[in-house]
Amino acid sequence: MLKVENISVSIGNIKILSNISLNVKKFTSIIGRNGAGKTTLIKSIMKILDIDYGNVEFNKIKISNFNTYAMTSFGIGYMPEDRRLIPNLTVKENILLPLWSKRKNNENSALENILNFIPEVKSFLHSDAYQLSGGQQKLVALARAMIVGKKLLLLDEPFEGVAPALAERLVELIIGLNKLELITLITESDETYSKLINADIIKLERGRIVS
Amino acid sequence: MQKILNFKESIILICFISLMSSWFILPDWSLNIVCLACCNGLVVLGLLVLMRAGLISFGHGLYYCLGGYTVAIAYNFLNVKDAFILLSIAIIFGGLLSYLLGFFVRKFRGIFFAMMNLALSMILFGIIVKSVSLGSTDGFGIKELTYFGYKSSEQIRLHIVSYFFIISVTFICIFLVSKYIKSPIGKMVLAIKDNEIRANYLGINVSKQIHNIYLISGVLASLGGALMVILVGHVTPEDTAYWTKSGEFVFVAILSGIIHVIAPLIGSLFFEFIRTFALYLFPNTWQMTIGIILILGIIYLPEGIGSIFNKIKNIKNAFRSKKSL
Repeated sequence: MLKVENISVSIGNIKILSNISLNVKKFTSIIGRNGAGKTTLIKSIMKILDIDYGNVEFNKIKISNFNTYAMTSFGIGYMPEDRRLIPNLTVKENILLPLWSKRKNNENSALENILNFIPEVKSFLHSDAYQLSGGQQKLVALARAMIVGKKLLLLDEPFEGVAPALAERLVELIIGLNKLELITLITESDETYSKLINADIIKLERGRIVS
Repeated sequence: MQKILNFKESIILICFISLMSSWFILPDWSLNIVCLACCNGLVVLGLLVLMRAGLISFGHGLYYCLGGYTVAIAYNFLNVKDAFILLSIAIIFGGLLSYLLGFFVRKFRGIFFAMMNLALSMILFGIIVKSVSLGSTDGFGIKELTYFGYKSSEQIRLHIVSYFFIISVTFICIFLVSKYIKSPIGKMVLAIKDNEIRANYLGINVSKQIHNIYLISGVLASLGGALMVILVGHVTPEDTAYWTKSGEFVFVAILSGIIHVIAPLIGSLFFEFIRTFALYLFPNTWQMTIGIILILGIIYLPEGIGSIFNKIKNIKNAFRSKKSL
C-alpha cells in the first residue's frame, strides 16, 4: 500500500501542495485541472522533488528517505507526462535500461513478459527511439515503467495528447494491469478515462484534496 | 554465419595493422610523432568517455602529468626499469587520484566541472614547479628501459620494440573502451547526458556513474602521460600539467567527436602532423593554421572526425540495399 502522509511541497517560494494525505491500495486516479499539483504529487512520491514536510510510505518502507534512483529497487515504475525516451538508444535498450542499472540477469524473460502484454512494441523493438511517433513512444514509456514497476506504477497523464484510438488501447492495457495485482496511480485532467478503468477517484484542486 | 567483427571493431583492427606495419615504411622523424599522437590520443580517449556524459575537463593535463611523473619517479627513485611495471604503477596512481578527486568533482556539471579540473591541474603544476627534488620547471628524465626483460637500446630510429609496445597499449585501451561503450553500463551514460532526472527515476545512480567515467578517463590520461615519458624520456610540468596542454587535449577532443573510439587517435595523429608541418612552414603563425583547421572542422564535420565512419557506413548500406533490389 502507498501511504502519503501529510506532505507539503514547494517549488521555489511557491507552495504547490499543502498537507496532502492519501492511501492508494489499488487503482487510483488523481483528477485535477492544469496547475492543481498532480505532476508535483507524483514527482514528490518519486523524490524528484523534495518534500518540505510529511512522508511517503510504500509497503511500510519510508521511501521518502531514499534517493530517486532507489525507487526501482522497491518495484516502483514511473511514466512521465512527456514520455522522455532516450533518442539514441533502440526501443529495446530503452525498455531494458532500468534493469541494467539494477544489474539483473533475467532481461530476456522480463522483456518477453512485457512484449506479451504490449505486443505492438514488437514491431519497432529494434528501431531507434527518435524514429517513433508520439503514440508509439507512449507505449514504449509504459513498457519501460512496467519492466521495473512490479509493485507500483505511477502514470502521469497517460491519456494526454494521444489519439482516441490509442487512448482506447491504453485503457485496455491499464485495465489489464489491474489483473496483474499492481497498485497503479494515474493522473488525469478530467474523469473521462478514469471512469472507464473503474479507478478510485481523488480530486485535487490548487494543491489540496477536495474529495 | 555470424560476423566475427562488427564495423567499428574492423576499423580498429585495420588501423592497428596499418600503424604496426608503418614502422617498416615511415621515415625516422615521423615514428616519434606517431607514438606521441598515441600517447595524447589516450588522454583524448579519456575525454571522449567524459564527453559521452556531456562533461568536458579543461584539466586532464593533471593526470597526464601524474602518469608522467609517476614513471619518472619510479624509475629514478625506486629503480624500476621495466616499461610494463612502470605503466602499471602509473595506472595505480592515476586511478587512485582520480578515484579520490572523483568524490569532489562529481558534484559539478558543465563549465564548473571543466574549470574545477583546470584548477586542480594548476595546483599540481604549482606543486611540481616548487619541488626542487623533482627538477622544478626543468622536470627530469629517464634513460634506457626494458620491455618484459628485453632491453631496447637507444638509436636514432625509434626501436621496433618501443614502437610496438606503445601502439599495442594504445590499441588495447581503444578496444577496451569500445567494449565498454557497447556494454549496458556504457549506454547508461547516454541517458545521463540526455537528462539526469530521467536517468535517476530509471534507477541510475548518476553520481556513481559520473564517478566511474571520471575514474576511467583519469586512468587513460595517466597511461597516456606514462607512455609519453617512456617515449620521450623526459617530463616537465609545463608540457603536461599547464593549462595550455589541457586546452590542446580539448581541441583534439572537439576535432575528433564522440562517435567512434578510433577518432581520438586519428584526431591526435592529424593534430601532431599538422603542428609539425605548420611549425616547419610557418614558424611564426602556426597557431593560426591550427585555428583555421578547427573552424573548418566545426563547419564541415560538426560531429567530429568519427562522423566520417558513419558516412562510409551509410554509403555501404545504401550500396547493399541497391544491390538487393
